[in-house]
Amino acid sequence: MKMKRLALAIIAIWIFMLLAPVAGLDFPRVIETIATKPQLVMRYLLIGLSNGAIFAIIALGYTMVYGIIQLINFAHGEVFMMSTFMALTVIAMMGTTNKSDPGQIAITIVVAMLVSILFGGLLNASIERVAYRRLRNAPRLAPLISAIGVSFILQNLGIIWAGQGYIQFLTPYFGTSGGFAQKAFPDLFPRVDIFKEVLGFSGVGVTFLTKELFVIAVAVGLMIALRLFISRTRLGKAMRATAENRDAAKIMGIDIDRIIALTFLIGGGLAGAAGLLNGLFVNTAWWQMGFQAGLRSFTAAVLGGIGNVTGAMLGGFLIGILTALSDGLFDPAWTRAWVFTVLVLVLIFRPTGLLGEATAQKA
Amino acid sequence: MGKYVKRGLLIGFIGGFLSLLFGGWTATILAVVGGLLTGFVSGTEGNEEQRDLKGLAVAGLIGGVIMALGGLVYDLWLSHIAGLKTHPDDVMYLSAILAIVLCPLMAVFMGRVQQMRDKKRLRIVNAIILLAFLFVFPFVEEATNSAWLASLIFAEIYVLLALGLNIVVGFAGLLDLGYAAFFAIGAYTTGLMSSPLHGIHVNFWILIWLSAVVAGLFGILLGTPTLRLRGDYLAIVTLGFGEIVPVAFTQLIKITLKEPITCYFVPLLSKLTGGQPVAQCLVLVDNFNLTAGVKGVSPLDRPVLPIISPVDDGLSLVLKLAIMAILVGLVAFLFMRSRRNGNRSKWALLGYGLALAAIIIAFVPFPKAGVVENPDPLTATVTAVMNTVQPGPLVSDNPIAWYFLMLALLGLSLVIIFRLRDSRLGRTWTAVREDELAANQMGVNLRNTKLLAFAMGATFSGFAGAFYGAYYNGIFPSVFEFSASVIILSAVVLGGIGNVSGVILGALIIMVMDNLVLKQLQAVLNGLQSNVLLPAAGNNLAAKQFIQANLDPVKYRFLLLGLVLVVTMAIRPEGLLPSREQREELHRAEETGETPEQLEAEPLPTPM
Repeated sequence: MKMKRLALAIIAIWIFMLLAPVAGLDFPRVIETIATKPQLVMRYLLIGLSNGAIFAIIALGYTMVYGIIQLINFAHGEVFMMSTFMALTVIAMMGTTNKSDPGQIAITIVVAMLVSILFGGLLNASIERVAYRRLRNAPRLAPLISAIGVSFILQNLGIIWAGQGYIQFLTPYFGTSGGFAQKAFPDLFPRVDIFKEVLGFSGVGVTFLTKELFVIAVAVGLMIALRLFISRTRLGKAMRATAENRDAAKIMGIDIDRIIALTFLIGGGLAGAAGLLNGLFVNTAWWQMGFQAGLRSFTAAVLGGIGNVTGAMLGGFLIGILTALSDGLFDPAWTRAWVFTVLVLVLIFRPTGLLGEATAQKA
Repeated sequence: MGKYVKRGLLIGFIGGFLSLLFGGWTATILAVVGGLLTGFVSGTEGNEEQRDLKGLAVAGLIGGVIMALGGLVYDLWLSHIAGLKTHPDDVMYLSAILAIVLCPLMAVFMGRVQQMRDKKRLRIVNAIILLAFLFVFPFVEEATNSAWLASLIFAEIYVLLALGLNIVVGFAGLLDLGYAAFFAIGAYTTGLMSSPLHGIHVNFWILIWLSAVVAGLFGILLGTPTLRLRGDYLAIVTLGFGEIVPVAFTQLIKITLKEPITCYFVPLLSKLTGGQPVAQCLVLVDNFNLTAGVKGVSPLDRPVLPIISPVDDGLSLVLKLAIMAILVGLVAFLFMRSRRNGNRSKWALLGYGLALAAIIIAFVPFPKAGVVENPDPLTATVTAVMNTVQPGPLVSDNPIAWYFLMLALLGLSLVIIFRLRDSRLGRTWTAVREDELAANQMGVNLRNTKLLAFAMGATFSGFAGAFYGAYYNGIFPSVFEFSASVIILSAVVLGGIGNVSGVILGALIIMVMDNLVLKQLQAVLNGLQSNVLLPAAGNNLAAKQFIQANLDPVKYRFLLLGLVLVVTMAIRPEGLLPSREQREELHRAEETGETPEQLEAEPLPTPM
């Protein structure tokens, strides 16, 4: 039995090593890069951490919604995309560019953060109200299909929003180059290397920019706040109760509709925050970003164990690092394939995710 | 009577809108379709209604008049101001008159047919009318030259795709969001094996089956690890799969496969020990361009269409036709026999096998004995006869030939799908869809059942893919992206999940809207924009930009598709033409006033 497993493992490794170079994992080149330029790899890891922080916040929305109504909210990625546009609009309305003085930039970021959180939350909650609520007792496919429809609608609204110069007061930054093009998101943070210029280490050779620190700090702060909210407050308790058993929670006097709406509101708010952070970090915005980010974040949620808030964070960071390594070291075109491979492997070997417990079958 | 007026207005508005967009003969064609549909629908209702032929005439008249008006408005006014093609005067007036006359006539005729007492015979007559319509339609199209046929062939392909997805989503209740991936796999299997890209030229009639099998195998490969999971995980895995398949087909242009042991371990060992490398690195595949990337596979071999292909050898053709005739006769005989015995399954199976053999014989060209310099009289006669019988020269670029070929394949698929649905397997799928746990308790092997549904859906997709590649004469990875999967899914959802005729209707509506109506609407709006609206806007720059950016329905097609999905789910989750079980299940709560929670506790109404 043991020999058989060993043989299987060896065959699997052989096949992997045979096929992985097709998907960009060229072993000699990767090993050589790691050996000769460790700083580069460190840099990718840092980018991965920041990216992963964003994925983690988006994944929280997936995991919370899934935990409470067992629905994969396909429109969640699009809420994230729309919030990025909202943040971009706010920044443009306040007239802030990367040349503005620090005080104004700070105020802009705070305002944009609040607005996009509010916007994302309200958008997500209204999607729930319009598209999902009446389908709560329908067959399971129904809300899922509805969610795909909402996702398509939002993508096209994104194209419209990003595409025009005619609503001058709303979208000064977007220009008239058409809705399908990528938009520049202003790089508001000073390009200060924290290791070198703040902490004074000169020999590290790895740059760690302020914007990355900001993204990670805000993301981790939000996650801690969410954890505290769920574990300490009455509403959080009601959410956990609803997720555990909706009917029992109803009997106990919990207003199910309100709690579910609240879940969507919080999840959307987190996606909104992620929208601003992603814009500040990646410095581009376009209508398709929601779909990709959504798929990766969902993978992160599954990897961590869906329904599990800590798991979503862990999964987010792992997926972020994986995508950064794949983008940097392997081949960016194949990153999606790697994320997908991880998803399938997790589902085969540990369907409950890294931190998830075996849940009862709710057919 | 009021009901008929309403119905006439309904067909009038739909048909009138389309006539308004296209003009010319459209009004007449749509009047016939609308009249037949009105008559047919009256037959599905209660008995008193059936007798009211006068009402049908009124409905047909109203519809016909509106359509005629739509066509006239296009030809007299809209086409001029939008700068589009106008039709000659006689065509437009004749079309309008014919629409007004034919619509009520057809409605009354069809309504009269529906009054037939013998239900069995009625079904046969209905089928004959449908087949006759489908047969005549392309010739009418060709004659009126409205260039709809190419779009209709795409619509047929999508009908086949939707039927396949319906097996997965409708019958077995598994949500497959990467259905276009199997479509791509089927298309590429055909493309790679019958194109100059690799110099392989396999006969299309073998490839079409091979593509289906390859796609089915990929379905099994993807389904095996994931189908034991809950349904929504499957949705996301298929979504991911559908995402990476186009990526893979785009990127597989420089494949280098190195044998790992000789290329990585041996050099590493020798490096560590400091010796010379012992073995040569074994490169299995070096820099191989499999799919030609974004350039796509184009052109493909033109398939030679069946039956008629080796006409230069009359003897083999006659032989082939004779064998086919014998097989078809045997099938008919077996059917009769099985009917009489009441013991259908075994004989019917044999019958289907023989029918399949007949079809395959029809599709595989017989080997030619040699090129005939001076054709013998038999060959010459057969060629002459075939050339008069067949609809135009049956070369592969003739859309009518493709239309009929696809129709035949659709018919074959429909037979398979109906047989599947009513088989033991089909009932097992229903059981799994309705309640997995209960089905499992009853001894259903969940994994195998789901896997079969998934693979079967993939097979149909591959089949359609092969046909698509050959018809379109080019395969490009961008065609098979997520949006394609969503289009197919919307067709299934809009028509009615699980109901075959609903799915066909849904796919036709979506494809006709997407391929024909939106494009024509775009042309009309473009004409209006440059001829009317922009001059009217004058110097108002903002208004001008708004018009230029937004007057383009094709740009918003996915917005419309999303709306179709959301609105269908919200208002009519069972779709336009639901199956009986689905309608009852979804609407029983409203009728009896029970809450859905109470319903769940009851045993399911569907017979298993």
